[in-house]
Amino acid sequence: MNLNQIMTDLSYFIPEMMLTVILLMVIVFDLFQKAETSIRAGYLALGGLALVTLSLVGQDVSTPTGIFSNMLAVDGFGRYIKLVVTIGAMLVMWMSFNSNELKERRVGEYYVLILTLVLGMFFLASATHLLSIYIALEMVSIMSYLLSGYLKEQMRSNEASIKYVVFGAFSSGILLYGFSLLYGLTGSADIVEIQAALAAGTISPALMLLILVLVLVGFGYKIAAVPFHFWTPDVYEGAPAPITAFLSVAPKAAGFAIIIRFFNVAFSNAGNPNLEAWTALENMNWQAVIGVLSVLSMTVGNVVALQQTNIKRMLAYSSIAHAGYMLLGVVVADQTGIAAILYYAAIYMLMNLGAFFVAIHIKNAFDTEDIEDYQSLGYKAPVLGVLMAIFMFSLTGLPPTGGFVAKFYLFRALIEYGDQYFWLALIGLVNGVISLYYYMRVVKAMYFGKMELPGSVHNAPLNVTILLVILALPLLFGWMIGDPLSAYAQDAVQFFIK
Amino acid sequence: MIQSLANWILSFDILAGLGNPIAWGLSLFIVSALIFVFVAVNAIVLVYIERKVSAFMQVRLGPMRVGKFGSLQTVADALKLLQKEDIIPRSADKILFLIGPWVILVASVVTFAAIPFSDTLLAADMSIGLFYVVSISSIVVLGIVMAGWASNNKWSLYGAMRSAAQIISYEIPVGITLIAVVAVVGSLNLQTIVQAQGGTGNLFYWIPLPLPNWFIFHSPFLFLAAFIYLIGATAEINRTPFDIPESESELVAGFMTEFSGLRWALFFLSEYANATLVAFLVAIIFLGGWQSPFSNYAGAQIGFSILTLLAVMWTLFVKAKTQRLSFYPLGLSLMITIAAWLFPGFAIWLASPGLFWMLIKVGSVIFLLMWFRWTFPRLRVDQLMYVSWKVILPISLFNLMGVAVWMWLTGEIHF
Amino acid sequence: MADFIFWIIWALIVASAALVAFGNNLIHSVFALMGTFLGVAGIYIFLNADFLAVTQIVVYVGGILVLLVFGIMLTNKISSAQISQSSVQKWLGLIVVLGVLTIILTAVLPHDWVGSITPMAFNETVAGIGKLLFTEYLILFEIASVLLLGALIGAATLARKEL
Repeated sequence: MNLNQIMTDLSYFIPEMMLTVILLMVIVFDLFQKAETSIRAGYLALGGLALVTLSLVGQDVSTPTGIFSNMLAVDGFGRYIKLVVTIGAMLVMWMSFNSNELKERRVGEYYVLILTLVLGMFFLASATHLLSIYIALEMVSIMSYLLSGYLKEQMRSNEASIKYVVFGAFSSGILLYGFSLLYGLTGSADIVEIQAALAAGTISPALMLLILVLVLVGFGYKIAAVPFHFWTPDVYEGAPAPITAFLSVAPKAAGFAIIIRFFNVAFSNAGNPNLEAWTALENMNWQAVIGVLSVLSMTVGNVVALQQTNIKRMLAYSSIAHAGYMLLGVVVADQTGIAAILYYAAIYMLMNLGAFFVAIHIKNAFDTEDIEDYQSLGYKAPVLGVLMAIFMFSLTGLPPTGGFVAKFYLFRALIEYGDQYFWLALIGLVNGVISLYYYMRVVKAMYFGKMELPGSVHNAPLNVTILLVILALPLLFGWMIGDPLSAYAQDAVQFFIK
Repeated sequence: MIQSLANWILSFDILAGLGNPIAWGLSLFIVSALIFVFVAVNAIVLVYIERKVSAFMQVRLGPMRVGKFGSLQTVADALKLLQKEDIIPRSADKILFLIGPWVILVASVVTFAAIPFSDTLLAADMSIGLFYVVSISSIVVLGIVMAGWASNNKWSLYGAMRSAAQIISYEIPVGITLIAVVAVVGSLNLQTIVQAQGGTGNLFYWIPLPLPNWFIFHSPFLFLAAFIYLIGATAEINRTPFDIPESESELVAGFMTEFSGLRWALFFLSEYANATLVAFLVAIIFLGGWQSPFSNYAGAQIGFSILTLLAVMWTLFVKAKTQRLSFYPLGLSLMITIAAWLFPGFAIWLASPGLFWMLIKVGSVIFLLMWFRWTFPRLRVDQLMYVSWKVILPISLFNLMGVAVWMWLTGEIHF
Repeated sequence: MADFIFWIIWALIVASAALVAFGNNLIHSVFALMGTFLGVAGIYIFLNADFLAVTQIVVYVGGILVLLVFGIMLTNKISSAQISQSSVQKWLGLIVVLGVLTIILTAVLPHDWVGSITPMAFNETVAGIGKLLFTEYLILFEIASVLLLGALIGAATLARKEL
């Protein structure tokens, strides 16, 4: 590896470099701002992310490439996740401008931390080496800890942060233990080379299982799958609401990215998930293990969400359930499965951010997070009510929303894979029904029961309404116009392989 | 050195039966003991010198009664300290109180393992010598905090906290200045660093002034770095003007307040060990270590002649300023110069590297440290932090970049 | 002789780690941690990783441990607070630990680890590490710097008094 090689690799690295430069610019810019005007740093960050999005769209990923001695991969899959993350971050920043929690405090650092988090997720989406996976994971984790504790004068926020740190440190320790075993067994930290060494089949199934469990603890924590979800409700409740929305979407997408990449490359027989005839490693039945995790996540998430009265906690538990749904796609792990997960991640981002944003705005306007208090909201704030209903329908997976299409793709992938995992699809369907209950409770509170008709109608500020409409429109009409997202997701299933 | 000592032990017929492992262990022990003895004797001598220097700076005599010119004063003091009652306060944390001073002492003594006293005289030739010294001396902080906490006394705790904050803050600029030197040498091995400074060359590469190739003369940046290092290191060893952890006027004696007898002596021992260590590092890193300043015997003769001229000027200057005659510098340099011209063997010895030059340089730096101590007033706590984070650290970062640019300009590195 | 030193280091690690875990005094536990860290540095030396050993000392003993001590000492009302730690639910903990240990050992021990190790003579590691950091692992080095910058800014933000 010489300087020329590095220069060549840098040309594949433009979005990340742009992001880093913007990050530094925001830091410096913020130095010259007073507390009242520090929101300008946020505008700068948002503008910068828009540029990054453009450069991501313009990036040529037609031939997947490994850059920097195969530490990172530039491929369609990574780019898709990066796009989801960036767009999510932009939406979250937009919402942060309107959040009351962040008023009257310095927010320059807040946007710096979000940008760093985005950068971490970029790396996580493209990491192909144990070390880069670990550093990216830590980058995402540490920024999440800091952001969830950003409301430092609030006890709940501090609690969220400290709980997150403790759980996070523990699980990344376990992950590292798994990585060290992998490295010790295979003598390499590159996931392609690990695959080659593991496929030789000289390692006992017990040891393979141990590695699988240790690695899953680390990754499962990032996507908040049961039984590594204990931090989720407290963190989601305590963190600033826009951050909660962001944490429930973007790190989850990035976590799924690394799970898919890691398992489909390192723990596969051929090491090439681009192939149609892809199979998992023979002496390590990780598909079944992830199937169990998926069932646990769906069921626990949904059942506990039933009992929640706080909308943020309800959405937190439901996000666990959604992680479970997406894990169904990991179980399948062939082209259709991965495409289904990618599609689901994007749709989930739209609908979950939407639901959170309505909740944030209702907190701003009516100062409540209780589902009970959403009583007759459909009449008090009709626009918000309708939009919230759309997001709830979509989260449940009712037609004709994007949520339905996303779930449909997932289940179709499962059923097409064979009879083996048909039962998983059934459990998923049952869980969809359970989730109907608590999502509909919100809708019921808003429109049914004893209504008190208000004298005046509350209207959200124009920019909030615009944002929410932007989120809702693709959910409603995306599938009608030939579903371009689905085609895009299917194109994106294309991995870098040495 | 350990292995060669072991070989030497095994070369005796009677001892040959010991076998290599035991001989190796034995020589390990001997070398460690030698280092410890060096540190202990060094401390006693330095305390005496410090008192004499302070007396000189304050125009008084200093210890005069015990021994000729009071030369046995510190020996007597040491004996007294050893006999004193070792008091442990009732409310102290007993275990930590007992361990603390020893941690400090061990941490400051073991660093000497990597110090090359001459081209052959060093305990362990480590490829990471410099890094080792820096890292081990950072353990001292823990010992100080341990002692301060265990005393269960607010002055002690304050002292310990101040000291820890100070050491940690100054470790950063010091580390960065050291990195600048390492960048020039390309090695962390202290012996290699010294060897890289042999011979003579131009001052700052371009100015045609034949000076030794010491790193202090390598570039303006390293010239600055030497002083930054000296300042930072003075702070790291808690010496005046950075002695706020034990400032008598505020904290009684800081983290040492509750200690008495032997334990207190241990603090003293380690303090002087640390000062010596800093002096050694300055000498090794910036002043050419055991390298002689002269490249050959003619150089030594001419060099000392110039020195004599300077001494003459100094004498005239002092005479004009204070109406007093100062003979000692002139006399000493004149004697050496005459000897160097008369006996070429002496001049050759002067021009050859060795322990002598190392000790001369170390002695000069220690004298400089003492000079600091008895002339500068103490800094305030906030000033101390200000100096570290806002003055020294930016300068040292700038220095690091400057050294890189300089090396590129002089063609030492290529892209 | 080297074996002898190795076992001393081993004993130091285990003993001080046990002290950390079972000690009833928080500050003693913190200082006992120093033994563990130094012992691990010693193990690194036995693995010919001299640079790593010294880094371990700088980072853990000179950095993290001091940070821990600072954290304890700067805690508000430290003189009145009961800073003690005691291990709760010892028996349950023992069972869990033994269970996990059994699982790990049954998985790890049967594998022939030693067969895949070739003993090597001591080589200087610093130059190699430096070269690798700036060629193969360049990007990780740079990412880590951004990570640290972000962490620094975040920590300063959280620690600052004003909102």
